[in-house]
Amino acid sequence: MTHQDMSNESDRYEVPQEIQRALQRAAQNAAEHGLQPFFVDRVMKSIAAAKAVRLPAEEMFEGLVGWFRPIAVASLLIIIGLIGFNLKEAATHELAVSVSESVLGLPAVSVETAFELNDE
Amino acid sequence: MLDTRDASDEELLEAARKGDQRAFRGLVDRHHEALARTVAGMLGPGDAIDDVLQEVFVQFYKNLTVFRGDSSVKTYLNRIAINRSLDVLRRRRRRLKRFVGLDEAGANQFAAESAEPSGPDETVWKAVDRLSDDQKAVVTLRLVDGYTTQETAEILGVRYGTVLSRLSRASENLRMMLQPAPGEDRPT
Repeated sequence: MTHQDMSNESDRYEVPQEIQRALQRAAQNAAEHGLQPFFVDRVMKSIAAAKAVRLPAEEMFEGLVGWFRPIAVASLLIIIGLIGFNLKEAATHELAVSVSESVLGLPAVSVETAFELNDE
Repeated sequence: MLDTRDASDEELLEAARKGDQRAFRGLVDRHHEALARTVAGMLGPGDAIDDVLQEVFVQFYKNLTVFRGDSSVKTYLNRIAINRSLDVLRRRRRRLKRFVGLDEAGANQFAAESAEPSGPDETVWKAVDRLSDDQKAVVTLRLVDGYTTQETAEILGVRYGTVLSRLSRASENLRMMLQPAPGEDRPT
């Protein structure tokens, strides 16, 4: 959006220019008086202090998360590969199977088999 | 070696992520004055500006690895600054409510009436203090910092129309409090 568009929009929402200028001037004055000397140096010191007080547990947790990420991705790829393999096998052998059997390679659970398992 | 004055924000960010303290310092140096105006627009004059701004940069440093660069560094810093300022405003109001026993509207009015005199801009700050926090955020980003309505919406995480309606209400309030009646002086 250009300055022209901005001023058109300001006109539409009736923000008088003198009020906008007064706001900008007030914020500028407050910022100049509000910032204490050597601001950048103090920020860098705060950061150094924040780094120094990092807990070992925090570092260990971040390390674990870093290790876990590639493992999670690899596991997901293996699962997708296995599902693909199962679907292909089920289609090749033209087995009359349920979805769980073709995707996961597990036998379908019927009421009868459930009762049998229960009896065991 | 990276020249912090000529390097872009993205180059400084990349170097800072790799642990280059000079690069991070370059970012602080480049953005702190504009951000001070943003925080001042939200909080008004006082020592809180310096404290909040320090917190903004410390949080930015902690988030260096999380920040994916979906928005510009300036926009991201502004978002943190606005959120931190809103936290401070909420804390101030809670304190007022606890000690003076006022509801939210009463606390806002009390804050505006008891605000410290701040020289030539006193009238402006008293008017700004009477705005709601949401209106303050829109006024600061849109009118003080000069962001477009779309950018303001992105920084605040609200819809375009929401920014316009808040801006409209805020302008109405500011005009009532700051625009002089015919024959009076202009706001200082």
